[in-house]
Amino acid sequence: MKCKYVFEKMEIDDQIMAVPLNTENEEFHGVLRLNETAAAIIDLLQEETTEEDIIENLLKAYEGDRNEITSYVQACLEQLKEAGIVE
Amino acid sequence: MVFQIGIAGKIMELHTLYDWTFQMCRAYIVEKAQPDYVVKTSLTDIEFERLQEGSDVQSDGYLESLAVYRKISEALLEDQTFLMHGSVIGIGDQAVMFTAPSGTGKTTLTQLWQRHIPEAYVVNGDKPLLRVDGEKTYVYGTPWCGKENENTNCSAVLKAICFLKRGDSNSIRKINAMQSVSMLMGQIYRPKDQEKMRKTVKLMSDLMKTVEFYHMTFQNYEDLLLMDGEAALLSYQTLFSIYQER
Repeated sequence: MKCKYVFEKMEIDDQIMAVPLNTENEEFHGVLRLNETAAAIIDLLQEETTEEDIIENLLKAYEGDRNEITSYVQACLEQLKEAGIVE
Repeated sequence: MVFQIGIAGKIMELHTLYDWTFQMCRAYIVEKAQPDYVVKTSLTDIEFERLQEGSDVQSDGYLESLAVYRKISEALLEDQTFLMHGSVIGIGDQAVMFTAPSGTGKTTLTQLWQRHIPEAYVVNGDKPLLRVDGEKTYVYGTPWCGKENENTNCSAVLKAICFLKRGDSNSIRKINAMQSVSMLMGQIYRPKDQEKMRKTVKLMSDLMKTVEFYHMTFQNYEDLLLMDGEAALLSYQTLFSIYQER
């Protein structure tokens, strides 16, 4: 799976926002508001990857229980798929 | 034809097929200057603008002028300058921008400012260029300024951007940068080239550190004659008294 959009991140008032760069023929024209973990997921999704790869990467980067991180990643991917951001 | 204009602090050498752009740029013409950028248009560029307009009724000369401004805007990204949709009003060397989708009332509000605030002038009525330079953003008058042709060949320090919306009464409130991002994205020119779009996003992020943001509800009666100065005076007092405190 992969993001349909190339995202550029910017920081506003200590929040991370991600702006899509290639929306011309696509449906998503909004801006993503992300926490640090979600921003890391978006970064990983800029290339072809799998749910398991994302989980393993986050486990290496952050302290956390595998089950917790798995649940978080699954919820995040679900939201991104519903928004049409991940295919 | 070939001619040069001074725009957003730079010299542009323009090579055009028609003289429409030359005529509209008369107040910005410079003679025999060393150009910072050279912009050339082609029939392909004109056809691209025709497709964007979605109409066959516009002249090739007019469409070419749109192509010229698109190319100027994209070239100036190299100089921390980008294009935005909005009406910019100046008071002295400071300015504020009202931005909103077309038809909301930017032009009407601009006209009310001109009627009720004697020292107000229009920097650019429709498509200003903005240059971010450290802690300040400068906004420029250009010949591309909307059908009312309201512009002043000058620059001013942009102090605030106000997002306008129609409502049942006139009110204005300050909002934070987070609340502004989506609205701002909708009014900034977004190049199709990804690297240029990346530069635009970076400039937008820099812009947001230099200006205040406001949201204004505007009671627009459509007929200017029916409107008093309340909206203009309310926004003037809010936007410029905040500036004075800074």
